[in-house]
Amino acid sequence: MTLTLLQKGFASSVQDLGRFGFQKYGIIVGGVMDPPSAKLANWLVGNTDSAALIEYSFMGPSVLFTEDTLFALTGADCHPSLDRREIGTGRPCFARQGQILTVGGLVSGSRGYLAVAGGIDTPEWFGSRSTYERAGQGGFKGRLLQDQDQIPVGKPSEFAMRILEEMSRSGETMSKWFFSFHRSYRGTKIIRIIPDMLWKRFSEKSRHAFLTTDYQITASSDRMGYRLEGESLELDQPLELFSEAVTNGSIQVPRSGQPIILLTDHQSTGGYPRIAQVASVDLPMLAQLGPSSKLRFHSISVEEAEMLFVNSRKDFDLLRKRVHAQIASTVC
Amino acid sequence: MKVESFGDQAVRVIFGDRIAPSVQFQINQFLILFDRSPFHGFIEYVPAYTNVVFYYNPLDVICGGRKDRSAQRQVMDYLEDLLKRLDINLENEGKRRVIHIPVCYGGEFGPDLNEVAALHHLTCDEVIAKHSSPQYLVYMLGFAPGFPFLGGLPEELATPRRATPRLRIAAGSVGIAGKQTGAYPLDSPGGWQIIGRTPILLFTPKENPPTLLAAGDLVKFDPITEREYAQLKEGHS
Repeated sequence: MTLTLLQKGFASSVQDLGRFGFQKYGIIVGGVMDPPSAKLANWLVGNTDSAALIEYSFMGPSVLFTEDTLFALTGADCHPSLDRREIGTGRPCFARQGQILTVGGLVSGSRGYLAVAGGIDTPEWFGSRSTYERAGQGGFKGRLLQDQDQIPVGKPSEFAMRILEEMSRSGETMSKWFFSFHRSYRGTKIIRIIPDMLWKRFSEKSRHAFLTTDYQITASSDRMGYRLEGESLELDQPLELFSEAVTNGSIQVPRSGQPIILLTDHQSTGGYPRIAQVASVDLPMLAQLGPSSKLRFHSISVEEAEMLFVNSRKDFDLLRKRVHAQIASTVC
Repeated sequence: MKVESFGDQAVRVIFGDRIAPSVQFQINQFLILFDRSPFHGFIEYVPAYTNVVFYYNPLDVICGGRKDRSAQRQVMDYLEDLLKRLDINLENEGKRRVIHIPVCYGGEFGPDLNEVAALHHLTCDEVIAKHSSPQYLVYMLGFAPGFPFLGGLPEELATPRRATPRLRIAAGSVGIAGKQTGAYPLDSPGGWQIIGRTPILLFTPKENPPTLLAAGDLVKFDPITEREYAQLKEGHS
């Protein structure tokens, strides 16, 4: 079956958890910007973590279902409706053939996810369905989604089929319960960082400013990275740096002195001095912040960052079990 | 040689502080050694001029290793041990692949050839002869899929970037920027001085690996005529 995209929303694309193992050829990892939200969406419709879904930014798409479909929306808050009836996010929803989902503008947060049972079934390219726009590969025809695209959907899991049948029988459009992460995107957000090896090469004034003043996300920000505006950062002495691998959360400082945080669609290598690295645990939150959001960096050790990440993943595994149990109790 | 932290899910193994074929060779040898016994939780590595970054999943590292130590410490220990076992066998130096890249220099494919020649008080033919004589070393790929960072440009060809970058440089364009030379795998904007174009593809999305070149290869540019360009282009499409 297929989904018909009536309105594409903004920067909507097919994504999964990314394409690993090819950065040595200059091929980016890509994938969803907010993996916890994307995984939650997949769990709610009985998919595996790595099933492909649609990611949208700031403005969600409108979708026509060509068959009875189990779907879920997660990520940024919005007021989605199915044939004009509000349905909410973070829960499994059931659409009958011919019904239209309108996600609309995002109210809080910058990225949302639409998962459908069976996952988006575009061809894989090197083990992933993530859209790699620059190379014209992966995703739907290697590009962002457009109005009237017919997006293929895979076969739902048996678990998903049972939910689908149950909802079809009961005539329910959505579950009464829902899951959401207790995140707030308002106010100045604390983003934890680990100083880079070049940290000490920045002037004392710059290091101080970096940790004690706010940095604002500017409008020139996208899936590749966020350009920030704030106190200018400079090196004590000019450095001759060679291109080398950079990653999600690398904070580079080009000659302008205004830092750039690299995100999911960053190039595999870069040559600017890096002042710090965002702790992995804070990357999903960062992905949900939009232009004019304010950040305050807080320095932690790499051991602390690792522990925070490991603990968050343990909590996340518990959530997975709770979601699964909740769905099972609905069905059985 | 040392291992440094790079965020909470990667480490960087540093082999030197200058761009040199011997450093690249050490990196390649180390990666051959590593490929024989990657650690549990390893995701991928990315070699560059002087170092290699190893990405890992900390949960998998801890799960396959010790619970009482950080994943990063375990990865660093593993790589430090491996570095001690690195035995550079220089006889292998001759085993590098040599990839020939045919290039049609000048004309519409190399709009900046005249300017580059004039700047260096050379004829166009001299520029072509100098550019196509060395074997360039591929130090790394990055920036775009299959984009090679090449070393070995004759110093007398070093040319600053164009004052105004072009909005679109065609895939296959061969150019010079400062002391670097290279070829564009995809249409891109850029400020390189474009002196020619190759009809063969540097980014081959349907093949595995999807790029013509890999770090450690040698590249030789072979001058061809417009006619040969057209014939080769035909064969590649």
